[in-house]
Amino acid sequence: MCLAIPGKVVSVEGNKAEVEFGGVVKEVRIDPLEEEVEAGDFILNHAGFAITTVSEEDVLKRKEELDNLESGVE
Amino acid sequence: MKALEFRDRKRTKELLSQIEREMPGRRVKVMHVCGTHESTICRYGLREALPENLELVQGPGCPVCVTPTERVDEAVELSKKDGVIVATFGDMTRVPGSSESLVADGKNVRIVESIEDAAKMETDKEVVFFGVGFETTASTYAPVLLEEHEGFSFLGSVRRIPPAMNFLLEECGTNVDGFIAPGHVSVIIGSEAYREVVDRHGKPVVVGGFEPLDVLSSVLKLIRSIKGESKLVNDYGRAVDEEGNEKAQILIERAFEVKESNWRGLGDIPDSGLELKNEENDARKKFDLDIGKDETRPEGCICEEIITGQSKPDECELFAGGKCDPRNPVGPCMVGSEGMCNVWYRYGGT
Amino acid sequence: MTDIGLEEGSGGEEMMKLLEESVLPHLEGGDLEVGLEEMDDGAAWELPDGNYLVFTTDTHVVKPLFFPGGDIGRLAVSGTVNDLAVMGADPKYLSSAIVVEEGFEREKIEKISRSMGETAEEAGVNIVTGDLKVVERGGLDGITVNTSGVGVAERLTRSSALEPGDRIVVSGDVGRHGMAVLVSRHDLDFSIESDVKPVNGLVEGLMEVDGVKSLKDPTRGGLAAALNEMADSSGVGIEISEEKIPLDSEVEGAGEVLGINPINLANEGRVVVGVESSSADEVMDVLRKSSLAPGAEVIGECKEKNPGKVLLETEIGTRRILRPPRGDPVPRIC
Repeated sequence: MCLAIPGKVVSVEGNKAEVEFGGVVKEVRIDPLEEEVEAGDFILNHAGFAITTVSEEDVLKRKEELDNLESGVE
Repeated sequence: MKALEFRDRKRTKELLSQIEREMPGRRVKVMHVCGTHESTICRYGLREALPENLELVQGPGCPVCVTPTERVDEAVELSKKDGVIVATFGDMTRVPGSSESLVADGKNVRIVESIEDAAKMETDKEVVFFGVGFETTASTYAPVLLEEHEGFSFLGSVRRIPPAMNFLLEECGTNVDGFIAPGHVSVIIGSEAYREVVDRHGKPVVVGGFEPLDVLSSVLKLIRSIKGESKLVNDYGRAVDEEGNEKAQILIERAFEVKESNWRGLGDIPDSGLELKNEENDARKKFDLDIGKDETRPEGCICEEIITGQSKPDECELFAGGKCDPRNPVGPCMVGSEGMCNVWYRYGGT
Repeated sequence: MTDIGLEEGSGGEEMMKLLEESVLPHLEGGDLEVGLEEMDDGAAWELPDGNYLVFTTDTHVVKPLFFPGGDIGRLAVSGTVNDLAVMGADPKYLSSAIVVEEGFEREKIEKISRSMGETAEEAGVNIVTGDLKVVERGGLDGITVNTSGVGVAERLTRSSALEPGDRIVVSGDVGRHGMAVLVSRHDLDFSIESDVKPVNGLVEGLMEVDGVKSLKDPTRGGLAAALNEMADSSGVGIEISEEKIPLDSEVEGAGEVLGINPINLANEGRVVVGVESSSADEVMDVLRKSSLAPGAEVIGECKEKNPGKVLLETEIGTRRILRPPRGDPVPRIC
């Protein structure tokens, strides 16, 4: 069961966060997260819990990487 | 969430051409072990778009599918008890036990979206959460299982993926050129968890994400590893690192113990199961459940071959003949939404 | 021959097989413009003045009886009105036959009847005859409502009329009714309302566009089933762009939780239109101006190749075949 849905953090309180998923806001627990989260961060929600954050920087890096895959360098 | 999507047409076309160009001049067979990867593959018609010489199969990556019948029978038995409610994720309600599944009327069954919904359910009855999953889901079960909840217990069917991958190679004679490892399990366990598959068995492993471009990128990197030196590649860097989520790992360690576990279709695999440490909220102990193994294999069912990557759903006479479908599943692969047959059924195959 | 299973009520392959093997061979279909053999949304025969009388029937078994956005009463009236409308008819009169289980609450009958009356008024039709029966406790699950209806059509729209080049338009976001029923059945935390409503007013505007050849109300089996029926009846291939299919984000989200694709779920207030390419813009104008068509889109085109099949172009430019849903993703949806 790898399905983890990305969402944007709206607010954080204790071990919970309000996260927005395409128009609907749901409460997600953030206990498993290693890093601190704040409003505006992206998280991946698996069965009501955030398992990791994904930064915009990482997304940009990935886009660049995908564009350069032809050069055969990893 | 558009910002995190990787579904660009142009990049797709380029990656597909690149893969075509870099294919070695022979058949290549790769295995992924995640129903969510299979969903991406089917939903975006990737098998058809990828080179004909590239065979992409699914391994035992569906936690619902590998839950043995007797575990389901335990849940069914509990749901018939007065004063008990069995709460579980949607697709577990359709799994057939040896004679029935959870879904029929007259049983106290509730669908929940998370273990927390079950633990906090407002009721006088005892709530038993029937929890299946791999390491990803185990990391969500652990925090709740480490809390005190009245009238709540856990009936678990939780497993670890890397031992199954090793088992396939060692015991099942599975013959693949490499693996795409499940991205979200890897978020928790880290990419180094697959080191044994690479070093001991000499098979390259690429940890992959779930967007269509992620899958294509992982396929390309796997082809490169297959042609060159077998290695371990993390292709989901935005979510996965080498050591994984150590905080989540500690939570899992505190709540669960690693034990041997029985996988439907595969048999007993050492160190592959996560059993609850705290006996107090273990439903098996609390309700004194004692249901024996069910070794029966339905006629015509080739799930074992499908789970081990040797056959595809359309090669099954039951699937092709319309005799096995999500509402009346015969074998495990049709049962869970992550089973290969179930995904093929929903997306019309391939 | 085996006993009947739930899947035979799904409206799909299994049901067709049951009808073809055990029911239809015994019925004398009559000699009509659109008769029993066509298995279309209704039957139609030519009147002396050149118009057509269209006749249809439907029995409703939705569970739960009251769901977000509607109830069995509203469904019963809308369903039959819409079946008449998509054949090209102006719906006029309905019958209503109710079978109710002993012990059923009187209050619910009133509520359902009120709903039927209101929906009929909305559609501009009258319920002119009916029947009521009560069966002993356990003889039925609550209540079942059959509505039959008649209307008059100047010209008939047929699923079999499509040709290569014709465009496919859908009047609004899909899967709503099915998802609303499912979400309420399982008590999940989504606020999705069924789209159930009579759309004959919308169809009236569409019928004025000469290029409109085919109309379908995508009920059981959803958009996927409707498109496949159209491709199959007409012998054309239908190519759809997945991105263009209007989909509400909550419906999409619920679909992910339940593992069901909204494209396979029933709609009770939507129309799929097959129209000549030169009239596609006119159809979109009619739809955009109507409150009954939220988010209408041109989703695809009919082609000569792959006749009888529906091909979906995915977001990333790859293709996959969109098969009609087999079996029943959701029983007792309408």
